[in-house]
Amino acid sequence: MRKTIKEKILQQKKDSQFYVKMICEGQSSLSREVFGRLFLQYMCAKFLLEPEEITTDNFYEICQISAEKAAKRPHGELDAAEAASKCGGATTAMNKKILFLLAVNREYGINVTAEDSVRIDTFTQLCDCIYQKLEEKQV
Amino acid sequence: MYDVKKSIDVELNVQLVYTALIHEYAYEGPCRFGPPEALTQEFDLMNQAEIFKMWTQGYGGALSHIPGIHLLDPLYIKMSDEFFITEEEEQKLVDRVGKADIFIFTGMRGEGIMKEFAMRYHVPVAGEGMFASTIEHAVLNARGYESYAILDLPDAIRLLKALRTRKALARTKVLGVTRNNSHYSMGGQDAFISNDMVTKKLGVRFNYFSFHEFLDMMHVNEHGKNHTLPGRQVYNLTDKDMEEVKAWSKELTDGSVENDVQEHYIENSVKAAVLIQKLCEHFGCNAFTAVCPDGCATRRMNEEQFTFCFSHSLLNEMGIPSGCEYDLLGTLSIAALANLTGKAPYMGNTQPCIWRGKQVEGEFAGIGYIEDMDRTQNIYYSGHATPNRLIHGFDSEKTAYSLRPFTHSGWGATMRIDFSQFRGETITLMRFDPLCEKIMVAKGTVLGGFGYTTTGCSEGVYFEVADKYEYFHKQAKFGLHMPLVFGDHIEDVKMLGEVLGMEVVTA
Amino acid sequence: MSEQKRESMKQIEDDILADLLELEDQMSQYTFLVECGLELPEYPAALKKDEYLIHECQVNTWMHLEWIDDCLNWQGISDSLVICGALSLLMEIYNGRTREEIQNFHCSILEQPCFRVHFAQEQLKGLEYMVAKLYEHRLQSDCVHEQVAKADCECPFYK
Repeated sequence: MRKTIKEKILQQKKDSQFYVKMICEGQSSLSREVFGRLFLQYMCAKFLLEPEEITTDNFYEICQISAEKAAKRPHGELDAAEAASKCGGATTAMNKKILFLLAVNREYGINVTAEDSVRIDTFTQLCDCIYQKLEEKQV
Repeated sequence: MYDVKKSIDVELNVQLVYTALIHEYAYEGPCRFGPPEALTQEFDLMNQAEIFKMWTQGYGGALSHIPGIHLLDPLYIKMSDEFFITEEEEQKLVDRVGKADIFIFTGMRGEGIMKEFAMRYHVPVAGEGMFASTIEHAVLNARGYESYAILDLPDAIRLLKALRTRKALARTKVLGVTRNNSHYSMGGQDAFISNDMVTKKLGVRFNYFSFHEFLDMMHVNEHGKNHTLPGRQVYNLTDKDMEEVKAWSKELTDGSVENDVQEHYIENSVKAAVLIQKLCEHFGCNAFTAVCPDGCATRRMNEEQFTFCFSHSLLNEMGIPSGCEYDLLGTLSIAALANLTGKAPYMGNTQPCIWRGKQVEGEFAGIGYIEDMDRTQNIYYSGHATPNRLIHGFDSEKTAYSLRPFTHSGWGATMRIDFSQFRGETITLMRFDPLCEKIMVAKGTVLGGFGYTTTGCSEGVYFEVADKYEYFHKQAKFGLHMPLVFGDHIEDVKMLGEVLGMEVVTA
Repeated sequence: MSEQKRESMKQIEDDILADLLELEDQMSQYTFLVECGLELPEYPAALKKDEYLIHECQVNTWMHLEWIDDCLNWQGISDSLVICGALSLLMEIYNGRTREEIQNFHCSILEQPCFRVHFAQEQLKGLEYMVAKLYEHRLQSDCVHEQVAKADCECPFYK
């Protein structure tokens, strides 16, 4: 079981690195639409989700789905339990969102700021933000 | 028609403040633990911004939907792990002093900031969340500063409603139409010990007005001819006012289930309601009371052929607290209850029912035997000919009503509500005490009504209480009239007592 | 029939550490620990008693030790997912091992940076306590075992 888990995580890393490479190398020619599809795959790899498990455009809810899948908890239960117990009021899903954005900054060489982060409510907005940052980086 | 600045429209300005702790370095310790990536400054910046957003949208969003609550733009105050805030950050708070009625703080380790701010600027503060609420309230309360601890959203809503009521009372100015003295009347001996003291404690102001001048102003188009104010161009009713009187009277007549009052008598009563609003606009008043027995004894009301009953009903419905018998204490109790609950209170003589067999004492007041008297001793009544259609709420559907005359002669229009249709519903009654130091609040269950089909001051509601004797002996320290609204608002009144610094006596 | 040679406790420990190092970044290692924790066998509710509660742990953590056919059976659970992960790995090393194997093994996984970095000091103390308790249990059981063995020898029925 341990080996299976390790292989799964290594594959996820490999997959996400693959999409980072595709996006970064094809940056100049990628349309927003194609970028969106690739970035979705990248996000699924990071969150250990399948695309069909993404049932919402709400980015926080996507993080919740990922956290709940990891903790094997029913929808909504994780947030309620964690919000009550964590000192700062942050939830696992919120942490996931932030750690994801920090990983994006690191892996794509861009700078999504705290101000950008709070403006991102949906996956669509996230893609718009990253796409724009990548374009600015090119310039 | 007239622009009366109602106390129910007063808004409480609420300032949400989030203190964001941004660690400069990644480290763990007794208070900090987690995977390394979650300990960086970068992570903190995003994390705190996200928590702020969730708090203001969720918590703040819920508060902003409460009527009368106005949220100022939330403040995000950054603090490093050196645990102080810069002057620039502090200025954000200072700029809101004088604008916000209460500052609600949350955020890790922000208690010191909150404490200092409250002590330096003497503003009411509340702590929300795990640490903020208990830490800051204990330390500020002990030092005599105004502070509150908020447990959850319902708790916050209760607090804010009470604070808004306090602000509304401070913005209340009563037009008191009096005959002999400004302090009390024949019908309201159970008055405040000192009206000045009430101004000092609650901020309420009083505008005393002569009963005779008022009656003179009921004469249409006779400005300058008033006997009591010779030559002065004052505020007599005009033709334009009379258009409003006629339209309003017709509306009330058409809307009644039954009407036993002639058209001109209805108009006489409605004239008073219009004049009251006119005078309120002029003098900047937003509450009203007038003498009853004292005024009656002049015989002028018999001449003018109206009573104030209908005015009290109509004004209370409009959110202008209006009390009978020059009961200033009762009128302010109406104002408090209206603002606290969002309902139009009904004030009446509130007394226990006493009976032997089927013989009930006080039948002159319109009460009589009801079957529940065979089941329980704990029956009370409250009655005056001043009910209104919005005792369930200013936003509720208007209750059906009829119109009956107050007098045997047929004048003095009064609204009649059949309270028997509300059997089983809970009512809450409250009243301040004459020292303006305590509030009595009581709860009852409606059993039925009386006076719906009769004349006189004989309209009211029977209700069951927990213990009639306990109620009576507690009420005896407060006074006769106890304004009531539907619903259980005991906890709301207790919170009001806390913010006013008054003891709350419950029955 | 030849027996397949089983990996030693040291080999398993090294393998676990190799896996952690192969994952490289701390986020992946943390995820690995949590995922391993989710695969812990179910802990019987009847064993969630105060006598099995590890008071040295920050969060509620239970462990139950017993010997079955002279081999260790270590059951455990925690309210913290990452502690569950640590338990899962420790159990992989220790479960099914004899007293002699345990006696000859020095557990060093808790000392390795790639493992330690994912736990707070208090959490590590809790884990160290559990391992120490395991050794204490082995010793006590040793005494019992010897006594039983001695009793067997002295018992007239065995002669």
